[in-house]
Amino acid sequence: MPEQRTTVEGKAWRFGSNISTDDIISAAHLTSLSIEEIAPFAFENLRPEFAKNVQPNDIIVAEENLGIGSSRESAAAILRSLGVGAIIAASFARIFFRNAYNLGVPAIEFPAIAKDPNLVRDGDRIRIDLKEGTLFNHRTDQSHQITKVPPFLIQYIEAGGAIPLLKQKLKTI
Amino acid sequence: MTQQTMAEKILTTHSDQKAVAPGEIVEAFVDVAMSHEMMGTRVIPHLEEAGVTKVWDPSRVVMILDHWVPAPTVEAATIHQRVRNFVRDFQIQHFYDVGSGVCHQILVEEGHVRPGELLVGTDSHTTTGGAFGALTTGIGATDMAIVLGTGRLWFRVPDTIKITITGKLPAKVMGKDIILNILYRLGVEGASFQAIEYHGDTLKQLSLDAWMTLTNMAVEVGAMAALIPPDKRVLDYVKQQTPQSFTPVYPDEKATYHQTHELDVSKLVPQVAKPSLPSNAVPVTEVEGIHIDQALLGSCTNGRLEDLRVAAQIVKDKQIAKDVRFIVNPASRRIYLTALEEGTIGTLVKAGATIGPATCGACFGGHCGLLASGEICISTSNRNFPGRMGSADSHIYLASPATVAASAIAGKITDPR
Repeated sequence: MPEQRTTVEGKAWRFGSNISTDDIISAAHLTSLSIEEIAPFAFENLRPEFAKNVQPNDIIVAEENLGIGSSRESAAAILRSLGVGAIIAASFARIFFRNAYNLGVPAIEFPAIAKDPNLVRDGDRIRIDLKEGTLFNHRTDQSHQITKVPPFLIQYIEAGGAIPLLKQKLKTI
Repeated sequence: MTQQTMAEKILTTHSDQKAVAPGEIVEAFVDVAMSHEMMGTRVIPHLEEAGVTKVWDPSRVVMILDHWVPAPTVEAATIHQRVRNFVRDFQIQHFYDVGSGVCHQILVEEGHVRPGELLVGTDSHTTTGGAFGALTTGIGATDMAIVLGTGRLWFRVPDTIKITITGKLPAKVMGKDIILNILYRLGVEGASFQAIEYHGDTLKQLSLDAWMTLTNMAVEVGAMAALIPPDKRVLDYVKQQTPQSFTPVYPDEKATYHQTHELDVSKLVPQVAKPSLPSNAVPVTEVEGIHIDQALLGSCTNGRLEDLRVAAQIVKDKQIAKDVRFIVNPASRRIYLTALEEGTIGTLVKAGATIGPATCGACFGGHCGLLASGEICISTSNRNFPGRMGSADSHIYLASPATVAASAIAGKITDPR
């Protein structure tokens, strides 16, 4: 797996609060053994156009409690499969947050978006720097503070997820 | 000595550190790892990619098929087959096949949840086991692959929220009503990334079945885990289920709690969580009369013996409304058999209930009772997100077994009192 960059630039896809893992991928698709096969059903009820139009490095920007509910890793996995470069939210549900890093997709807190949803609008071109903890919005020409990704989690991004790290670890024990 | 909460103590005894504190990242030794169908779909590919050819300790791994059981599709049957092959090839010592029960119930009934231990499972409702004094938490497929390969996993030591429940619970008001009310008060993020510790005199009056409902839906409050200091009932129960020794932990008197909440339940009325968040709880009186198409009694939240008995008592010698499906899924074969032998199942069937297998089935929108567009279900399960149980524009109201049973009879949301 190639080393991942710690800056991401792409188009923002805006979502609200309490987007559940059921919203991201419904249980109806979870018996598939192929993530690629079910990726077209990402957000199928909320934003059916998402899977068709999302481009590599596009960024999910949600409000409170993104990924509430089921532990299904397929929710984060289909977003990775569709090329999503980062997931930003005012706050995250715990298991979804872990799953994202485990798959090498940064999940970064941006508390201010909950108070001012217009900081990033749907379709804005944004750039984030994981190590610096900054989000730059090209539309507004403004830079915002987001949570700095700690070195502990940066290693997951740089390795492309936890499985490559596990592979290394198993070689040493 | 550092004063610690139960979660802090368990993470301390399961790491190399002398004493862990909230916010710290610790690598912890796992006592028990549980997976279900997610093993067949997502964990096995991770193990293959990482080159894991044996699990760290096959005697500490529990596999349970419970979501799509019995297999409703060839795809589901294939997943089950992959899990069975894995169990055989990796010599997994604890396997519970189709029909055994819902994983969180099986873990408890078979003595895999033991006070003071650390258990992880690939299911968000793994918090349930905390009713037995263990730190039990949900993880994803990659985390499970790491645990199976190494026996360890990193955790951020959670802050603990103490919830003290006092007062005598009124008749026909249940553990479910307590947790729905807690959800209303704290919200779906109220305990995000944190641990909950339940205390208070009311716990003594509640059954262990009800304790499990309190810890089960802690994940709906966002919690990593929910723990209850084990009483004699818990210790006796676990000793009956397993010869394995264990060391219970209790919170220190001066442990630091991030927040404390007190809840007097002596005047609590039955709660109903309206669509589409479990925190949308209102007194049943505010939603009485809403027509229902389906009533579901079951799931890891409320498919236990007490739940079936309370429902049977309410529907005894009555008939469910003509235009309602009343679906009952006992949470395990053991529960099913006891309920059958004592006549509880008979009472439910006579009233018009359809008894399904011990499965997660309809609760997560898998099979065995999905909803069509526009339909309304009142359910004892744990989530009422849009589309959770079928069509994206079906609607779910969450309630206790008593409220669900009373509603099934009336054909509309009904106060069980």
